[in-house]
Amino acid sequence: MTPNSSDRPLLASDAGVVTPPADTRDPFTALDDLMAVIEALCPQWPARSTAAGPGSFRL
Amino acid sequence: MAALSRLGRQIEELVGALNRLGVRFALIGGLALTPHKVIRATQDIDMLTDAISADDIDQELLRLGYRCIHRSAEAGNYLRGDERVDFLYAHRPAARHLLAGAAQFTTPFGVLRVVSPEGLIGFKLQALVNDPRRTQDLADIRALIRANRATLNMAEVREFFRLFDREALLEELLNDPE
Repeated sequence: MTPNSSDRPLLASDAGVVTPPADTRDPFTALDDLMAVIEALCPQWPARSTAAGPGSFRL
Repeated sequence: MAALSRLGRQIEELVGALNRLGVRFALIGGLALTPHKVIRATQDIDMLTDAISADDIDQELLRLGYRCIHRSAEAGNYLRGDERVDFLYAHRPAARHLLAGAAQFTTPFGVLRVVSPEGLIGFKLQALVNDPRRTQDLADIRALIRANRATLNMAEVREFFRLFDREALLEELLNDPE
Protein backbone atom coordinates (compact mmCIF):
# COMPACT_ATOMS: atom_id res chain seq x y z
CA MET A 1 0.00 0.00 0.00
CA THR A 2 1.41 3.43 -0.89
CA PRO A 3 1.32 6.45 1.46
CA ASN A 4 -1.34 8.04 -0.79
CA SER A 5 -3.79 5.19 -0.54
CA SER A 6 -7.21 5.43 1.10
CA ASP A 7 -6.06 4.58 4.65
CA ARG A 8 -4.74 8.12 5.09
CA PRO A 9 -6.98 11.15 5.64
CA LEU A 10 -7.56 13.32 2.64
CA LEU A 11 -6.30 16.89 3.02
CA ALA A 12 -8.59 19.04 0.93
CA SER A 13 -11.14 21.78 1.26
CA ASP A 14 -14.02 20.69 3.57
CA ALA A 15 -12.32 17.38 4.25
CA GLY A 16 -9.63 16.12 6.58
CA VAL A 17 -9.55 14.98 10.18
CA VAL A 18 -11.94 16.05 12.94
CA THR A 19 -9.79 16.88 15.95
CA PRO A 20 -11.46 17.34 19.34
CA PRO A 21 -10.21 20.20 21.51
CA ALA A 22 -7.02 19.21 23.33
CA ASP A 23 -7.83 21.26 26.46
CA THR A 24 -7.79 18.80 29.36
CA ARG A 25 -7.41 21.48 32.07
CA ASP A 26 -9.82 21.98 34.91
CA PRO A 27 -12.87 23.63 33.30
CA PHE A 28 -13.01 26.44 35.89
CA THR A 29 -9.36 27.28 35.13
CA ALA A 30 -10.26 27.38 31.43
CA LEU A 31 -13.17 29.71 32.24
CA ASP A 32 -10.92 31.97 34.31
CA ASP A 33 -8.45 32.19 31.41
CA LEU A 34 -11.26 32.96 28.98
CA MET A 35 -12.66 35.68 31.22
CA ALA A 36 -9.20 37.23 31.71
CA VAL A 37 -8.90 37.62 27.94
CA ILE A 38 -12.43 38.98 27.56
CA GLU A 39 -11.94 41.47 30.40
CA ALA A 40 -8.70 42.68 28.80
CA LEU A 41 -10.69 43.40 25.64
CA CYS A 42 -13.70 44.84 27.52
CA PRO A 43 -12.52 46.34 30.85
CA GLN A 44 -15.94 47.84 31.71
CA TRP A 45 -19.02 45.65 31.39
CA PRO A 46 -21.81 47.14 29.31
CA ALA A 47 -24.97 48.05 31.23
CA ARG A 48 -27.56 45.31 31.45
CA SER A 49 -31.17 45.06 32.60
CA THR A 50 -31.53 45.98 36.23
CA ALA A 51 -33.67 43.24 37.72
CA ALA A 52 -35.96 40.37 37.01
CA GLY A 53 -39.59 41.35 36.92
CA PRO A 54 -42.47 39.27 38.20
CA GLY A 55 -42.48 35.87 36.62
CA SER A 56 -43.64 32.32 36.79
CA PHE A 57 -41.41 30.71 39.39
CA ARG A 58 -42.41 27.06 39.51
CA LEU A 59 -39.10 25.49 40.55
CA MET B 1 -4.30 29.01 42.69
CA ALA B 2 -5.71 32.55 42.71
CA ALA B 3 -8.16 33.63 40.05
CA LEU B 4 -6.73 35.62 37.11
CA SER B 5 -9.90 37.32 35.95
CA ARG B 6 -11.88 40.06 37.68
CA LEU B 7 -14.98 37.85 37.54
CA GLY B 8 -12.93 35.03 39.07
CA ARG B 9 -11.84 37.27 41.95
CA GLN B 10 -15.43 38.39 42.46
CA ILE B 11 -16.55 34.74 42.67
CA GLU B 12 -13.65 33.98 45.02
CA GLU B 13 -14.68 36.79 47.39
CA LEU B 14 -18.36 35.84 47.27
CA VAL B 15 -17.78 32.10 47.74
CA GLY B 16 -15.45 32.82 50.67
CA ALA B 17 -18.06 35.07 52.31
CA LEU B 18 -20.91 32.57 51.80
CA ASN B 19 -18.80 29.69 53.10
CA ARG B 20 -17.88 31.73 56.19
CA LEU B 21 -21.57 32.51 56.73
CA GLY B 22 -22.25 28.79 56.61
CA VAL B 23 -25.18 29.10 54.21
CA ARG B 24 -26.00 26.51 51.58
CA PHE B 25 -25.57 27.75 48.01
CA ALA B 26 -24.96 26.44 44.50
CA LEU B 27 -24.01 28.04 41.20
CA ILE B 28 -26.68 28.30 38.53
CA GLY B 29 -26.66 30.42 35.36
CA GLY B 30 -23.83 30.72 32.85
CA LEU B 31 -21.07 29.91 35.34
CA ALA B 32 -22.74 26.63 36.23
CA LEU B 33 -22.38 25.44 32.64
CA THR B 34 -18.61 25.14 33.18
CA PRO B 35 -18.33 21.67 34.78
CA HIS B 36 -21.06 20.41 32.45
CA LYS B 37 -18.87 20.63 29.32
CA VAL B 38 -20.06 24.06 28.17
CA ILE B 39 -17.65 26.94 28.76
CA ARG B 40 -18.76 30.42 27.72
CA ALA B 41 -18.16 33.98 28.83
CA THR B 42 -20.58 35.50 31.30
CA GLN B 43 -20.88 38.78 33.22
CA ASP B 44 -22.99 37.74 36.17
CA ILE B 45 -22.85 35.36 39.11
CA ASP B 46 -26.10 33.47 39.63
CA MET B 47 -26.64 31.50 42.83
CA LEU B 48 -29.34 29.30 44.29
CA THR B 49 -29.65 29.42 48.05
CA ASP B 50 -32.14 28.53 50.77
CA ALA B 51 -34.85 31.17 51.16
CA ILE B 52 -34.19 31.12 54.90
CA SER B 53 -30.64 32.43 54.27
CA ALA B 54 -31.76 35.47 52.26
CA ASP B 55 -31.50 37.97 55.14
CA ASP B 56 -28.02 36.82 56.22
CA ILE B 57 -26.78 36.96 52.63
CA ASP B 58 -28.32 40.41 52.15
CA GLN B 59 -26.40 41.77 55.15
CA GLU B 60 -23.16 40.17 54.01
CA LEU B 61 -23.48 41.57 50.48
CA LEU B 62 -24.15 45.06 51.81
CA ARG B 63 -21.01 44.68 53.96
CA LEU B 64 -19.06 43.75 50.80
CA GLY B 65 -20.22 46.96 49.13
CA TYR B 66 -23.07 45.66 46.99
CA ARG B 67 -26.43 47.40 46.86
CA CYS B 68 -29.70 45.57 46.52
CA ILE B 69 -31.53 46.59 43.34
CA HIS B 70 -34.42 44.17 43.71
CA ARG B 71 -35.58 41.66 46.26
CA SER B 72 -38.68 39.48 46.42
CA ALA B 73 -39.58 36.14 47.95
CA GLU B 74 -38.21 34.49 44.80
CA ALA B 75 -35.04 36.39 43.92
CA GLY B 76 -32.55 39.09 44.91
CA ASN B 77 -30.35 41.16 42.60
CA TYR B 78 -27.22 42.96 43.82
CA LEU B 79 -24.89 45.39 42.09
CA ARG B 80 -21.44 46.77 42.97
CA GLY B 81 -20.23 49.08 40.22
CA ASP B 82 -20.56 46.91 37.13
CA GLU B 83 -20.39 43.67 39.15
CA ARG B 84 -23.66 41.79 39.52
CA VAL B 85 -24.79 38.90 41.70
CA ASP B 86 -28.25 37.36 41.42
CA PHE B 87 -29.79 34.95 43.93
CA LEU B 88 -32.74 32.62 43.47
CA TYR B 89 -34.27 31.59 46.78
CA ALA B 90 -35.17 27.93 47.05
CA HIS B 91 -38.37 27.35 48.98
CA ARG B 92 -40.38 24.98 46.79
CA PRO B 93 -39.54 21.24 46.87
CA ALA B 94 -38.06 21.16 43.34
CA ALA B 95 -35.51 23.91 43.97
CA ARG B 96 -34.68 22.61 47.43
CA HIS B 97 -34.08 19.15 45.97
CA LEU B 98 -31.77 20.60 43.30
CA LEU B 99 -29.88 22.61 45.92
CA ALA B 100 -29.47 19.56 48.15
CA GLY B 101 -28.18 17.48 45.24
CA ALA B 102 -25.67 20.02 43.90
CA ALA B 103 -22.21 18.53 43.40
CA GLN B 104 -19.16 20.03 45.12
CA PHE B 105 -16.12 21.23 43.14
CA THR B 106 -12.74 22.54 44.20
CA THR B 107 -12.04 25.41 41.82
CA PRO B 108 -9.56 28.29 41.48
CA PHE B 109 -12.35 30.38 43.10
CA GLY B 110 -12.73 28.12 46.16
CA VAL B 111 -14.86 25.17 47.12
CA LEU B 112 -18.32 25.57 45.67
CA ARG B 113 -21.32 23.55 44.57
CA VAL B 114 -23.00 23.49 41.19
CA VAL B 115 -26.50 22.31 40.30
CA SER B 116 -26.89 19.27 38.07
CA PRO B 117 -27.14 19.72 34.30
CA GLU B 118 -30.79 18.65 34.49
CA GLY B 119 -31.49 21.26 37.16
CA LEU B 120 -29.62 23.90 35.21
CA ILE B 121 -31.80 23.16 32.19
CA GLY B 122 -34.84 23.57 34.45
CA PHE B 123 -33.73 26.97 35.76
CA LYS B 124 -32.81 28.18 32.29
CA LEU B 125 -36.18 27.07 31.00
CA GLN B 126 -37.85 28.99 33.84
CA ALA B 127 -35.87 32.11 32.88
CA LEU B 128 -36.74 31.67 29.21
CA VAL B 129 -40.46 31.24 29.96
CA ASN B 130 -40.40 34.38 32.12
CA ASP B 131 -38.65 36.38 29.40
CA PRO B 132 -38.72 34.85 25.91
CA ARG B 133 -36.23 37.50 24.72
CA ARG B 134 -33.52 35.67 26.72
CA THR B 135 -32.22 33.75 23.72
CA GLN B 136 -28.96 32.98 25.56
CA ASP B 137 -30.91 30.68 27.88
CA LEU B 138 -32.26 28.72 24.93
CA ALA B 139 -28.76 28.49 23.44
CA ASP B 140 -27.48 27.21 26.81
CA ILE B 141 -30.20 24.56 27.05
CA ARG B 142 -29.35 23.41 23.53
CA ALA B 143 -25.62 23.29 24.34
CA LEU B 144 -26.22 21.36 27.61
CA ILE B 145 -28.35 18.77 25.85
CA ARG B 146 -25.79 18.33 23.07
CA ALA B 147 -22.82 18.06 25.42
CA ASN B 148 -24.48 15.75 27.97
CA ARG B 149 -27.01 13.81 25.91
CA ALA B 150 -25.54 10.41 26.77
CA THR B 151 -25.69 10.99 30.52
CA LEU B 152 -28.67 13.32 31.09
CA ASN B 153 -31.58 12.01 33.13
CA MET B 154 -34.13 12.68 30.39
CA ALA B 155 -37.09 11.78 32.62
CA GLU B 156 -36.11 14.66 34.92
CA VAL B 157 -35.53 17.00 31.98
CA ARG B 158 -38.94 16.07 30.52
CA GLU B 159 -40.57 16.79 33.88
CA PHE B 160 -39.19 20.36 33.82
CA PHE B 161 -40.46 20.96 30.30
CA ARG B 162 -43.85 19.55 31.34
CA LEU B 163 -43.90 21.84 34.40
CA PHE B 164 -43.56 24.87 32.11
CA ASP B 165 -45.86 23.49 29.38
CA ARG B 166 -43.00 23.39 26.87
CA GLU B 167 -42.93 19.70 25.87
CA ALA B 168 -43.00 20.68 22.18
CA LEU B 169 -39.87 22.78 22.64
CA LEU B 170 -38.04 19.80 24.13
CA GLU B 171 -38.99 17.62 21.16
CA GLU B 172 -37.72 20.35 18.86
CA LEU B 173 -34.42 20.50 20.75
CA LEU B 174 -34.01 16.73 20.79
CA ASN B 175 -34.60 16.57 17.06
CA ASP B 176 -32.07 19.30 16.34
CA PRO B 177 -29.45 18.19 13.85
CA GLU B 178 -26.02 18.19 15.48
